Amino acid sequence: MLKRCKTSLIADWLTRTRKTPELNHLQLSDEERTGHLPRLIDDLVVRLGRPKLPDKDSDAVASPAAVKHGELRRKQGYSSAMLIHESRILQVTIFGTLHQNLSLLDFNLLLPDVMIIADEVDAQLTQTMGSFSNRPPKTAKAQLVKPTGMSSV
Amino acid sequence: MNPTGPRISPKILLVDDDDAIREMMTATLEHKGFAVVAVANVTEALKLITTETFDVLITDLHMPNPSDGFAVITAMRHIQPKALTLLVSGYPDVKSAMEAILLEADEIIVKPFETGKLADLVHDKMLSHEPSVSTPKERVAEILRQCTSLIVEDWLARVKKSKELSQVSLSDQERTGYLPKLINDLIARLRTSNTPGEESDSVCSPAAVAHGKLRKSQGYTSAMLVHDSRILQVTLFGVLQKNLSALDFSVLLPDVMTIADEVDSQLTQAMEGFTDAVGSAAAA
Repeated sequence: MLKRCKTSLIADWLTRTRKTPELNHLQLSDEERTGHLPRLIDDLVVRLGRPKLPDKDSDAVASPAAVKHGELRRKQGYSSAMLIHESRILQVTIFGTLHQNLSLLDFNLLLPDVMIIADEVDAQLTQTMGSFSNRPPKTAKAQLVKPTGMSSV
Repeated sequence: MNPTGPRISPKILLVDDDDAIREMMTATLEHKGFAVVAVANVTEALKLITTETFDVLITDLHMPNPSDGFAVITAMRHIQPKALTLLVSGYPDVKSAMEAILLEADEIIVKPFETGKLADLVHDKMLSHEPSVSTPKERVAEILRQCTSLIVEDWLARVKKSKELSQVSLSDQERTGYLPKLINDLIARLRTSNTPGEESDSVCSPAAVAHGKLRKSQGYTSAMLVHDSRILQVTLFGVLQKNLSALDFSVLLPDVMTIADEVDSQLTQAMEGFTDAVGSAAAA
């Protein structure tokens, strides 16, 4: 289902992100905002394809793309709280997509899949946060619409 | 099925993608006095479940995809909980392999079976079927409230197994001290939230900010803070999975959205506290 709804999921995420004051004060193009999502969703689909509940950290997908995303967000002027915020919106968007397709869902597999989604999205966020925090700040690419609330531009 | 006794023509929804089997079962059941509506796929079955009332559902498991029948059973369970549900499978090990499905299906029939005996089985099951004894459904908030201690214990066990987190030496109390308050905030949010995912609904938590600062002083990195939260979400959803039979599925996904939103909202606030602590340390 996530594979099929990838495009609409990204569009929904972008809409929610644009409505979020904590995120929309950074002036980024749609591509700059959503560039990491197709790969992340692909990783998620791969992870969901494995018939195993989250048990060990090693179950998560090791993602160089998530690491790069953290480095990029740092350049774009994000704070660590903003990184979490966009991940938070992604989870809500994914579960919202599932809710919209409720009649097609197999309820016996729903919660195990929800556990995997939460684990994988947060695992990617952990990797993103790791690279975000370990790199020194570089020149901010994005322009601030409002200068308030920014810590590293 | 009801206080006045079994209906004269109980209505059966029969779902099987094998034309020959479907027709044979239909003829047999109709001959035994049942009214049968037979369809060949999940889509048609789901449409009928939402538009007509049935006393019995008999569905094949694989139509053609594995687990298709589960979707039909689950939909019937939630939309028409009084209906008797029978799952037919060609796999001889289905009873042992799919015990969880018994939470939803009243009976599993293993192929091959005699169609003549199917009608008798349905009749017997209808007489003994007591939908009123089914488990009362509960909201996610109530399940989390009842399982708060279990959540904390399960979370701690998972954290101790995590290489990234266990490298910081902390007492159990130091690790879990913030969780009861966070879970209480979550329960409060679940009880009041009508629109899942609305950021304005999230709980403003000074405790979360303090937790972020404390984690910094305990030697956490920001990635470890996220890792803590990741394990919490998995633990919360795992507790719900363990209480599957008690869950009200009609509101499950909105509640799941609220959990994801609230846990990440608390993480955002904790990260702000953590970042403040980093800034203070740098300034000092």
